[in-house]
Amino acid sequence: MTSARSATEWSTWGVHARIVVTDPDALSSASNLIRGYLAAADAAVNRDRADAEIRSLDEGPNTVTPMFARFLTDALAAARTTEGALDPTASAPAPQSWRSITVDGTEVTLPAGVELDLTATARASSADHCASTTAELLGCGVLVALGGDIATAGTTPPGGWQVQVQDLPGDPTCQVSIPSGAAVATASTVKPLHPDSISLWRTVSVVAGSCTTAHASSTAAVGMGGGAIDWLTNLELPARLVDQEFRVTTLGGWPS
Amino acid sequence: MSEDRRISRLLPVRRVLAAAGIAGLVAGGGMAAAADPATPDSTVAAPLVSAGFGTPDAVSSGS
Repeated sequence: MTSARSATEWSTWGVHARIVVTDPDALSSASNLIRGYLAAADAAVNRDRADAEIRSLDEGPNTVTPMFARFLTDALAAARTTEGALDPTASAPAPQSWRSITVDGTEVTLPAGVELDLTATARASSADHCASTTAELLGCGVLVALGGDIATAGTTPPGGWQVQVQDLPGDPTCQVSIPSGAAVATASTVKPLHPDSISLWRTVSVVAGSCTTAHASSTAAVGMGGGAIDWLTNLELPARLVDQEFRVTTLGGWPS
Repeated sequence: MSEDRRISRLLPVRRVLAAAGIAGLVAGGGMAAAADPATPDSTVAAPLVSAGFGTPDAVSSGS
């Protein structure tokens, strides 16, 4: 089944960005909204920028922008989901210092010696925020893909959003359908930037209710070895794992 | 009106509402009906993922 959809793509943050909307007349507006959002997000959390908001925070209470507060809230949720595997700190006096960070509205309190680094979750968070905000403002279905992180919101197209899951060309592939509100993320150990030949898994893909959760779960699981299966099962998240011998394991309702 | 009389007057109303399947809606401001598995409108949550088909909207690969 097909339906009217329109898409556009560009490169940003070192990845391929792709936007799909269910209302072709809304594509230009969606693209502008998302490009603007990503520019603002970069100014908020990119530690390489001297003027980034993330570099302006000090020990103790800080007033931050709503966007930054949301990024940090997502990062702390990812840290809790992964039991600290995705740590939102660049430097900290103790491994669990992130647990002492608090967000109350737009007030962020940092413990002494903690510097934030939201790189691990900012892209997936941005996909979530862009999809939900754009769908709400434009009143249509929206899919936002930033690299392998895919978020959806608004009206679900007939048959659902169609997502192909494949790491490298030649790897096992499959296609899944997800409703709006669901998200997909894939973590890899074989991409050139992050090769890890001793890992049990080549690729782990996860579907969750947010891209932040899907990304955090897949990233944590891909480095876990055999324990990833029980860990993902306990999270009750649909997942697909591909090992170094190209064998595929599916969990939690992921279609086999 | 005493508390007993008030309740006795309300009971027939509640019976009628219960027969219509909306007693929980009234009693719990809507939340009870949504959480009650016996409510006829209760449905099993749609699966988060199913087999796909057709032209993909996007590709999820590792990065």
